[in-house]
Amino acid sequence: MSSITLKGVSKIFEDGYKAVDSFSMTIPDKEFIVLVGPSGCGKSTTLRMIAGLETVSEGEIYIADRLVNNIQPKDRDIAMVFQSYALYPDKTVYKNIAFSLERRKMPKNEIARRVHEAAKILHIEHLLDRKPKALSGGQRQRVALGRAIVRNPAVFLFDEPLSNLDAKLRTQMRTEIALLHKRLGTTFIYVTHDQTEAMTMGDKIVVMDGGVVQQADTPENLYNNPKNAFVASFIGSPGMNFLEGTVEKGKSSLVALIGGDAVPTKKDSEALRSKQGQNVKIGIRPEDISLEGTVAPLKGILKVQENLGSEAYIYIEYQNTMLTAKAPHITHKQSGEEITFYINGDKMHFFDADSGENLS
Amino acid sequence: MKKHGSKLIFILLLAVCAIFLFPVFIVVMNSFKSKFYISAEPFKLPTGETFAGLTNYIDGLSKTGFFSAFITSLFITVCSVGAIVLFTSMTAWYITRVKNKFTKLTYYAFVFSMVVPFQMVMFTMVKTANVLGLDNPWGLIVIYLGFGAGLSVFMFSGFVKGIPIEIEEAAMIDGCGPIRTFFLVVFPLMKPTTITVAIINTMWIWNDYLLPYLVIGSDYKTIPIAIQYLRGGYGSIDMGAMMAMLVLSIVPVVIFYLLCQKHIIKGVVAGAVKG
Ligand SMILES: Nc1ncnc2c1ncn2[C@@H]1O[C@H](COP(=O)(O)OP(=O)(O)OP(=O)(O)O)[C@@H](O)[C@H]1O
Ligand SMILES: [Mg+2]
Repeated sequence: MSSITLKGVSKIFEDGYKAVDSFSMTIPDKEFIVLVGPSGCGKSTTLRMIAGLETVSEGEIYIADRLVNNIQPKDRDIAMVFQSYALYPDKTVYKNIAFSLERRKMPKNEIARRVHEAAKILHIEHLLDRKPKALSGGQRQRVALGRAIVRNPAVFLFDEPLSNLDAKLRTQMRTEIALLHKRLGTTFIYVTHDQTEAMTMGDKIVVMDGGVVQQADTPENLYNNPKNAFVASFIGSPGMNFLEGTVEKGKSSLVALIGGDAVPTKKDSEALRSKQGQNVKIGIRPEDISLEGTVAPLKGILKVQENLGSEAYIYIEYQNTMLTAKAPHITHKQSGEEITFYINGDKMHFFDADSGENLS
Repeated sequence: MKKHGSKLIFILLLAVCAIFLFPVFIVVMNSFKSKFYISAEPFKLPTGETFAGLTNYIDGLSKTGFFSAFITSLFITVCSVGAIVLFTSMTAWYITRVKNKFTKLTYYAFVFSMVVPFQMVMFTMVKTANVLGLDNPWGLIVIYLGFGAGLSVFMFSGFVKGIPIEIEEAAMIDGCGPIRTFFLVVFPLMKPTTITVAIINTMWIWNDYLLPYLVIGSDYKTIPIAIQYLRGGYGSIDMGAMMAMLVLSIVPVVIFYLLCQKHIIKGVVAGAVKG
C-alpha cells in the first residue's frame, strides 16, 4: 500500500527562490501520475523532494502513511530513473542492476535470479557483461529502468527519462513504460515537459507553472475543461487558439462577439454572465475550427497549409491573430486568398482576461 | 606533409629523451667503474681496467645499511602515499560537493599551500614537529600528508567536479549512505586521478632528503640519508658506492611508474578535459 501524500509542500532554495509553492495532493496506490509543465516550473524539485534528494522547506510528505521528511533516500523504498540515466560507469550492466540488492545483503543466487528476470523483461539479457559506455542510448535507458525495477520499490520516480532518446525510440519506450506500469502495479510518478508524453501515459496529470499546481486531473478533463488559460494553452498540440472578445446576451443563448463577428454558444454559467460586456479571452481548439459549416461564417486570410497526410493544419489570419485549424485535408485555395471558416461556438472556452480563470 | 611533421616531432622528442636520460645513464655506467676512475673520467665507458663489477654495490650495501634504509623509506613512502590518497580524495569530494563558506575557504587554503615553498616553513615546522612529538616515522607520515595535501586535493577536486552528481544520487537511492557512496561509487571512478596522485607523491616522498633528515635524521635513515652518509670526513666521498646506491634507489620508483604508466597518461588527460 504505497499511496503518497503531499501536504502543503514548498521548496525555498538557499538563495530565497521559491521553486515549489504549497503542493498538496494525494496519489493513490498503483496510480500513474505525470507532472508536466514548462522548463523551470518545479517538477524536478517536487520529484526530488519525494525522493529525499532535496530537503522539504515547508509541509509534509508521506509515503505509505509514513512521514518521510527526515528519512534518507535509501530508506524511503523508492526507485528513481534519471534523465541522464546516471549509470555507474565503471560497473557492468549486471553490477549496475544488482547494486541496490547487494546493498541490502540479499543472497547471491536471489540477486542473480532477480537481475536476470529484470533483464528479461527489458530485453537486455545479452548486455549484462557490458560496461555502460558500450551501450546505445536506448540500451542505457533500459539498464536504468532495470536498476529501478529489480528492487520492487513502493514508488517509481522518473525525471524526464526519455528526453535523450530520438523521437521513434521515445514513442516505443513510452508504450513500454506504460506496459511496465500495468505489469508491476506500482505507483509511478513521472516528470516530463512534453505534454504529448503526459497525455498518453498518465492516469492523472498534474500541470504546474511557476512552482504552483495549476490543475490535477485526468487527461480528458484537462483537455476539455481546463481550469485556466495556462492549462488550456499548455495541453494539446497544436495549441489552443486565443482571441479577444466579449460576451453578450443573444436571442436564445449567449453570443461571443469577436471584433464585429458574432458566434452563438451554448456555454453558460454564472461567472460568464457576470462578465457580460467585458473583455474576455476566448479559447478555441484547432479541431473546433472548420472550413465547412452553416452557422456564423467568418472571413480570414489563408496563410500557410501543412499537409500531414492523415490531416492538415491550416493557418488563418483573423483579426490580426494567427489561428490554427485542423482539417481533414488541405484546400485548393492559395495562400493570401480570403477564406471562410466556422468556429464551433459550443466548444469555445472563456477565460477571465486578467486572471485567466475559466469562466464557462 | 603531415607525416613529415610527425617525423620531425619524433626526432625532436627522441633528442629530448636522450638529454633527460643522459644523467641516469652516467650514474648507471659509473656505478660499474672502480671508484678512483669516476671523478677522473666520468664520461668514459668502463674498460677492462676501470670495470669494477659489482664491487661498488657490495661495498655500498654494507657501508650504508641499505636494507634497513630501504625498509624505512618503503614504510614512510607507502604509508604517506596511502594516507594522502585516502584522506585527500575524501576531502576533495566533501569540499566539492558540500558548498558553504567553510569548504570554500578550505579549498583555497589547500590551493594556497601549494605555492608555499618548503624552505620557508622548514624550521618552524621542524620545531613544531618536535614539540608535538611528531619526530618519528609515524609523525613524518602526518607531515607528508600535510605537504602532499595541497596538490592532491586540487587534483581530486578537479576530477570530482567532472563526475555527474546524479550518479551519487542514484547511489543514495540504491541504498548507500555517504560513506558507501564514496567508497563503492565515487572512489572507483577516481582511479585515474588516484594513480596520478599516487605516482607524483611517491616520486617526491621516496626521493625526499631534507624533510626526513631534519625531522627523524638522527634516529632513522631513509635511502637518501643513508646515501648521504657515504660522504666521509674532509670531503672524501666513496663515489663508487654512491653511484651504485643511487641506481638501487631509483629502481623501485621506476618499477612502480612502469606498472602505473598506462593509467597516469589517462589520468592527466581525464583531468585536463574535465577541468
Ligand atoms: N539549487 C538551486 N538553487 C536555486 N534555485 C534552484 C536550484 N535548483 C533549482 N532551482 C530553480 O528552481 C526552479 C525549478 O527547478 P526544477 O529543476 O524543478 O525545474 P523543472 O520543472 O524540472 O524544469 P526542467 O523541465 O527544465 O527540468 C528553477 O527556476 C530553477 O532555476
Ligand atoms: Mg527537471
